[in-house]
Amino acid sequence: MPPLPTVQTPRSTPLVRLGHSLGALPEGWRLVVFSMLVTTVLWFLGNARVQGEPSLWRGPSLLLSVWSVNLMSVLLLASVRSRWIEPLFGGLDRAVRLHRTLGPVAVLIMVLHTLLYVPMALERGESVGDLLIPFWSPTARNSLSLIFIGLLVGTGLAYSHRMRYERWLSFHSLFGLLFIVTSVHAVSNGVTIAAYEPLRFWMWLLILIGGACWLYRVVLYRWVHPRYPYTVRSVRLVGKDTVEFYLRPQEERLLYAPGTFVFINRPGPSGRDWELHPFSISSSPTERDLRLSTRIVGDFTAGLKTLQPGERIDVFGPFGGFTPHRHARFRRLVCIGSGIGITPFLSMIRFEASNNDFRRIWLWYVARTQDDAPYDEELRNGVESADSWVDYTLWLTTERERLTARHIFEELKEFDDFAVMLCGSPAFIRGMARQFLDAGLPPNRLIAEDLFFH
Amino acid sequence: MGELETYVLAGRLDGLNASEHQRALEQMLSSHPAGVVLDMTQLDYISSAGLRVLLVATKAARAGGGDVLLKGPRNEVREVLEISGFDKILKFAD
Repeated sequence: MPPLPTVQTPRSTPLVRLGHSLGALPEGWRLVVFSMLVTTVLWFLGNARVQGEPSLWRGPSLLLSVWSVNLMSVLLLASVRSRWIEPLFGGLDRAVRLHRTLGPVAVLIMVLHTLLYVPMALERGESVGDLLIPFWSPTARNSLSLIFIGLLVGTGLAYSHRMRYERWLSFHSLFGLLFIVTSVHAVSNGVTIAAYEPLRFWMWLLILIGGACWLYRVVLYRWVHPRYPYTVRSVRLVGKDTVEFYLRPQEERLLYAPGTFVFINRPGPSGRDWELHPFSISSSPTERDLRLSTRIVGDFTAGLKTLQPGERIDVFGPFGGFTPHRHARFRRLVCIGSGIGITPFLSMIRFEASNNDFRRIWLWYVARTQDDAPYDEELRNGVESADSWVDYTLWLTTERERLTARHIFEELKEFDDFAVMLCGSPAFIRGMARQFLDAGLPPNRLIAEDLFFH
Repeated sequence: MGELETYVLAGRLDGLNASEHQRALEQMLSSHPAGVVLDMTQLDYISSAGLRVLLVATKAARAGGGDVLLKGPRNEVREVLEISGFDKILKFAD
């Protein structure tokens, strides 16, 4: 498979190259790197003012603590689920992915910060048990060791996938408290922070942002976040394990781009039940009713079969950057939906019936068997009336081999200017993305969503 | 090749009027087997349904020994022809 042509850039200074490198990062990573740079520079300026460093280990330990606070603050910002904040991360799906990827890193840094106190304690002839184990002796540093143990236990449980989603979510939300406790500890005990006002201001700003985000997300969200009241119009089981339901707007109708997703809450008979669950929109923005399609994978989605016409559903959103509208410059699109990952493309193809935005599209629907592809007929009909020129292929993995980037290249023949949109399970996305990138597809032409919020 | 008849396309060629143009072109090709010049100078937008009209007409003309030539497409229409790859299949009069 020949590589894609690469673009030659003119020679530039290191600072300009750093700017280009930052600009090439995905939005959320840009925010992380930028804020970490600010924190690091301010910390070194502050550290230069600290007189008589008592131990070789103390500096690195304090630097790690400010890094951890910085990272946690940005990750709390990423978890807010606000339409105004998600562009900072290139979409809520990417924000959640960043949160999931860097959360353990932030905790690990904080643990390393604590462990660097061990050699300091040994240098001073103090007990390591007093440092790490609560109530080890009358001189034990109980508050610090309790935070340390809390971090370890909390991280272990928060990244356990054995819990029910709702219970896991409730538990995970307690991490905000740990953030506040560790941050206040870092600011009140950090000699570097105390020595330099700009650093102190910056750290308090980060703590304020992180704390406010946590408070809003965990406590205030259910009361104050804008929502769209809808009622159930109909529910239908499609295929073996897919349920789709139509919702009718009761007041304001949600305006969305095809390919985006929403969170819904089913208030129940009491009107007070509170659980937010993400669903891809599979209807067109031009339709009055909102159609959501999902695979039945847990208690909540299984319970959707019992939805009654007229039942109230609160809709939050729309969210996500997985829409061709955000990528207007790409005129040729390769779209690959695996399993229930086809739902964003259903919305796009339905919208194509009234979209005056011609593109060349190749759409692959990957499923195990024909029975696992309940939307095949809808897509076949949809591409016939699409404004864009769409080549549609149903790829059944039990009849053909696994779909790879090589198959796509063989079909397209010329591949100099297309972008790839991938939607499916995390494993599917990882595999396909790696193949396309290895083949030379520039990362900015790879648009992916893995429908994974746990 | 004999004399080519001109067929003028104006406004939009999309799913709403594609079948109407297709019928008209089929009739014109049956009476002018040498082919048709599609005057696109007044055409603002063409969708996939419009491209299918061009494709069907071209196949029919070439089967009869003639051809379909595109004349003066505007930039917006020319872009659609390029994106779809139709610029490599169809011939231009200018």
